[in-house]
Amino acid sequence: MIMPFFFASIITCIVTLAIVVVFLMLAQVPFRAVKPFTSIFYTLVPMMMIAWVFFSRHGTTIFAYGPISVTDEGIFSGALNVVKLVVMVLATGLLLTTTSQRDIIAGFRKLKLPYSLCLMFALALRFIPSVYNDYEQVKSAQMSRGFEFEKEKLVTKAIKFTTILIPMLVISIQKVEYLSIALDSRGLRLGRNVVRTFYKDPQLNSREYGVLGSAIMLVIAILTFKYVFHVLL
Amino acid sequence: MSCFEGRSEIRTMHSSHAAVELRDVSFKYEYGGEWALRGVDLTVREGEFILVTGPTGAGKSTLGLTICGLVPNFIDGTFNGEVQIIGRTMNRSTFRDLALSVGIVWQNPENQLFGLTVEEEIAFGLENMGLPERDIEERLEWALSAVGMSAFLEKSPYELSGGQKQRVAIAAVLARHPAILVLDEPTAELDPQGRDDVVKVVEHLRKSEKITIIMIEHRLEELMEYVDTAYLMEEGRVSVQAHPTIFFAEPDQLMERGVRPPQVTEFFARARRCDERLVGKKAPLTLSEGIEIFEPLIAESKKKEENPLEHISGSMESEAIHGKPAISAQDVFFSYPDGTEALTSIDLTIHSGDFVGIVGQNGSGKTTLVKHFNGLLKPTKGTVKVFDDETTMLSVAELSKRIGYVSQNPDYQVFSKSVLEEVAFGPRNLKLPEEEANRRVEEALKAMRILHLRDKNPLFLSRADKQKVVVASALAMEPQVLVLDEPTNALDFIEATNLLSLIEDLNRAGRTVVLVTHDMLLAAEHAREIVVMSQKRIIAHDTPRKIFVRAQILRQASLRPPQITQMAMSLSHLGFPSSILSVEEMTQAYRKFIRR
Repeated sequence: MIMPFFFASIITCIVTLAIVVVFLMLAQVPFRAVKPFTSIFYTLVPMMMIAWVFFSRHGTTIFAYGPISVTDEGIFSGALNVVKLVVMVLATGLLLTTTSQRDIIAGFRKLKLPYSLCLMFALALRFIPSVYNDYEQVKSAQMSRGFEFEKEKLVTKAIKFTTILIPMLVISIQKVEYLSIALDSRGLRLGRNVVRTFYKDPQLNSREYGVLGSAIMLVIAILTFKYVFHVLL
Repeated sequence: MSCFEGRSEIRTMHSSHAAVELRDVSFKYEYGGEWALRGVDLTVREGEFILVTGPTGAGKSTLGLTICGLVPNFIDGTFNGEVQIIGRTMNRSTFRDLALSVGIVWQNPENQLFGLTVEEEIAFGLENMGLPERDIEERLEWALSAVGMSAFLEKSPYELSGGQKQRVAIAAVLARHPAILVLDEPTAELDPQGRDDVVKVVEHLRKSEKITIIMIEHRLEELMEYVDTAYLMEEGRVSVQAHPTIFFAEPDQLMERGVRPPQVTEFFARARRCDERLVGKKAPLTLSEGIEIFEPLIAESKKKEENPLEHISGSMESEAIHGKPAISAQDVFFSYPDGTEALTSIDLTIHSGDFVGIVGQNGSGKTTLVKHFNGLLKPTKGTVKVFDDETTMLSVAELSKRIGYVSQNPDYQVFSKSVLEEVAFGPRNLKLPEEEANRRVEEALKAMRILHLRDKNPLFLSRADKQKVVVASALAMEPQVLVLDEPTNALDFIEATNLLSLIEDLNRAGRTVVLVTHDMLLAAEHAREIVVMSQKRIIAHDTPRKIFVRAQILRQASLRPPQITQMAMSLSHLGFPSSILSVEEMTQAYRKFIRR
């Protein structure tokens, strides 16, 4: 999911994208299951394009007007980052539609990651659908007041996004506050000396350990290429 | 009378040990401004069921958080005084141990559930205690059966109804074997059925598990049977502490202070003014106590004259004069993209000038239906027309000029720096000339009586004021129809009455109003037409007077008539008019009846 951050070549990205899409098809994930994840494209992609394509200062300038400058490198990095985003989002979708959250967390714990980290990740995953639902509700409320999000031009769209962003932030902060009280009132304690048991702890079989091992190897390999051999993938 | 004696006997059987003791407790939130608690003294005996009520902002929730130790050990602020739980003083070092003795459940079940399955949800608190797997399993089964949710072990909490979610939240706390259970408005967002379920579970726990119950609520009707002591909180203080019969002896005074007594109690106080036979009697607190008091009195009056007065109910019915259709739905079906059907075969016409209440259980399709009125949702099959135009032909923005829709939670739309800008958002989207936009904003602010708040930041207003801001935002579009989705959910009695009287003014001025609610009291008192929804269908559509006497229809929708209507119906065999919708009407009918 986060590997594309370390990719510098658009080809590597496209290859990864192809792999993810093949996996999605193999797992027979219907498109509508991934749709909640892809919905962030509509807002993020235009904003990324604006940032990279129009405000990039590196490379050969193709067109310039005031603070706006379009450069070849700008266009390239804009495209690269959009592909990166698509890969990340689809890979997240693949993970979440094929694996139950409980299994993901169990996998994390088998990697001997601290419980606080596993819990944090679990809660973040748990709130994805709820954030999407909040987004839909805020959008409906603003549309009911004559707000036409889809019709706006790219630039004003980014500005007008605050009408959605601010309520979303307020709601998220409220939810986090409640969640922290809820966790605390159920006696959550974190730290090294805390005794905590796990109910119905799933055990990994040898094949699962194999897959886990090779995934870790792959990550290490990519990082080694980048930081030890300075070969950009 | 007798039932109260019985109750005090039970109380003397409890040990003299205090479960909770607060001595001169004050608390101010770190970023809160005013003191939330100002010198609260409170003693709750083991096994007692106490009710804490009072207007919004009185400090009720802070009191709950203090009893479970989260204030001040987890939530920062200035704290004075002492809290003792079962004889031990709560402080930084004992808080973790004592927190085990106190469980808390609050208003919104979604904010307190975070597990993927009911099983996981409940196991979480037990895993935190470091219990071995076998103990966890035992407690899990026990807690789920105590709240009657054993069949839902594998379910995701999201798939449950509001009442079921709240019962899971209780089970999750219960499994940790608390001695004290704090419930902070646990039923505020639930329909009548859900409220009953939760209250019954709580009473069962008190009886069979001897758990001390601290119930913070402002909807009291379902609770009064069980409450031992009632507390009124005002401005951070406990201002009244009494046995319920004494607490509710002067219902008028309580209502002025923001507490709505049960309808039978309110009626008793009013009837006492015109019937000297009631003077000196104890006020009834439950439906059955009310019937017990009034049945002999009405029977006595009946003997004076034989033929019952039919015209009392007849005269109160005003025939509705219908305007032209504002919204009409014809054979509407709706399914979400994932295939779940949400509306089935809906036929409905709402006429101009009407005040329509849409009632039904949580999840019966009320919100889905009204979202069709302004085009947020388009029917999968069938047509929805708004003043002769099909909603599929118009954008939401175009429809927003005709239909003002106010969604459930104001936090889902407030974003501006000032109330003025917030309300101007709509007219600006319509690209109206500046002058016209300003005029509309001012009129909307005036209509909701919030002109004085114009320069305030709407994000930091009280919930009641925020609610008025969002209604004003919809009004500024000058729509012919105003649709309000559960506008009074988080408001107390005075705030809700206040908001609805403003809405009634709007309706009187000619605006069509559609009110979605699961509060039968509000629907009965304000709406002139009621649409009952159950399981994605409309099962009845008539005047409130006709709807609320049809117990069977309501039962089918898991609803029930207001308490006062139920009482009138139980007295109808004596010739008393049964179609009573409010305490006001009941008092009038009673006065006429006894003076014949």
